[in-house]
Amino acid sequence: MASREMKILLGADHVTGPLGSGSAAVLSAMLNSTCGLRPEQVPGGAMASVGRAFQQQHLDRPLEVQLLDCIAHCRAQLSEDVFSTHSEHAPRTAVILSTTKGEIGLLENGDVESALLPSLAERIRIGALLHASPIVVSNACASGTLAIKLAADLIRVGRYDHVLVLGGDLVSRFTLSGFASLHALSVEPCRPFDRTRDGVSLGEAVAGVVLSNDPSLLAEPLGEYIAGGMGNDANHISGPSRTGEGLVRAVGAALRRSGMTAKDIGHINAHGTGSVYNDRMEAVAFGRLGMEHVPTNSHKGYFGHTLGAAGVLETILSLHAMRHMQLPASLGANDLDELPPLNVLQAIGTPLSNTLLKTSSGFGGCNAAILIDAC
Amino acid sequence: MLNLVASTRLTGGRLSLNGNDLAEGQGEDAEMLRALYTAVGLDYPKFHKMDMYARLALLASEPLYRMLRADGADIANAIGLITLNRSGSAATDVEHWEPVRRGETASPAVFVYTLPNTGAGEITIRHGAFGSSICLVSERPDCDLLLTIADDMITTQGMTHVIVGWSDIFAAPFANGPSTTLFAGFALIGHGAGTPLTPTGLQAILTQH
Repeated sequence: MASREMKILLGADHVTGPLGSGSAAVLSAMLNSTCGLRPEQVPGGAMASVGRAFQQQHLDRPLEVQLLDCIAHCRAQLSEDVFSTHSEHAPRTAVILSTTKGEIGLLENGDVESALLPSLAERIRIGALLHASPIVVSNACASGTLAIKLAADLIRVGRYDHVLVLGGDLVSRFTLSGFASLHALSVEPCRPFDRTRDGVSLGEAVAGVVLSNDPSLLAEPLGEYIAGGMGNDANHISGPSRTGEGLVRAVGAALRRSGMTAKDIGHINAHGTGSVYNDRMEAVAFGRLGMEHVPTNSHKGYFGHTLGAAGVLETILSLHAMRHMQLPASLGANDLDELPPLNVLQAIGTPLSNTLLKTSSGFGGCNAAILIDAC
Repeated sequence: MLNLVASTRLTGGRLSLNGNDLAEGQGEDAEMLRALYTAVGLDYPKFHKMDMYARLALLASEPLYRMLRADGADIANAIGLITLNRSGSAATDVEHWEPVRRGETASPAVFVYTLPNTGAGEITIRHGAFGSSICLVSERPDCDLLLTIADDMITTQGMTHVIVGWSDIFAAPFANGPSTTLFAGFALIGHGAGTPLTPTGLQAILTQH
């Protein structure tokens, strides 16, 4: 049963993206300032820096294959495979899949029906021998952080004991052509929070992490979930709020539920896409929240904006970084934008406490924030 | 205990509130939605820039927000929103992809609607709703799960009511799947006045019969 004393732990994580496979290996590459973004020509003819990870494998369904591989890596780290349909615990488990466009390559090839997200979810159920199709959260680029929040909420209210949160998105001609049409792509690798930032770099990745109320399930927990919040900008379908209203509300809700204040936050892993307006919106919001002093970074200079994977991927990597007391520099932030000022890490930094604030914001004006204590 | 305050459905060219027809529109999807827009007395020019999916979600939820506004509800802060669909933005995805496939330039005005949560985005913008919201995509609504999420939004996230809405539009021309469908069903639920709502009751509102 749900109780106030219930601890919700995170662990059994795995990531694969432009910097390789395995959370520890990817963090190590980041701490060595490795950038996984490479220039390529995008539909329409322009050049953009892109974080490729899967396309060279020439698979018909690259995302499905990568998600199944990620699930296997996560399950292998559990003391018992509670997610298997054969487990007595299976009815008390769920998988939540965070994605924006799923297996969009199928639509590019004319198979719209198979490209639908429920179709991908059902193939994941079958391929991973799950007792139910994954719950699909699709809130644009806030999906991953929101999926972790939903997982924790559903454990807290007693609906499930264990939830595997998966994030995944591909770099596709579909998304590249769209972002190119918005003139939103950076030719050079994206430079979040830099004065000269001029757009996003798209990346592809999958990431998975298990949330559980059973400490014995996770051999080496990464963190303890504290609280989360969400908020809408209610402003514009594709542009962030100038006031950061939705993000302020999301973080404010998470703080209220946790009983914490800005002083308790040890590290902010921001959304930091490298677009002029997003990063400014975040600076305004964190300023309003009194968090200018908190060591802040964006991971997107390393592997790009991985859309629906981003919140899951970046939460996992941030928790690994906090465990090692080594926060990656915000790659590309060489000449910090001055207003409003944030404590953006230009070199490897250390957290002020073990509490991570992870935020994400997306099209549609949705914002999500989660607080996790690193173990 | 969750209660149903009111519900809307948009199917077969009719928009109904609590089972009573509010408006009727004829013709193809775009024409029918425009007719309903006029019939319910909407004056919101942005409507015409939206894709069909966002128009559908906005129209179907409109009577519930009007009811909340008339009742003095705190729409800005205390109305949660759970939007649901099966096809995501598939119809608009195809519209975005076709010119790109032919080597032509993509339209940014189309691309920004190629996400499943644009209906939620447009609803929150129209009504200035800053509170909790989430967009889930599934083959059919899992009403037991939805009531759990809605109850948590009310119990621990400061919402007084939650609007749960299924809206789906699927364009068939490039697919082997079912023919074109357009359907929306929305439920306004809360802990206060209303009739007790079971998962089965919610299912009846959120699915096309």
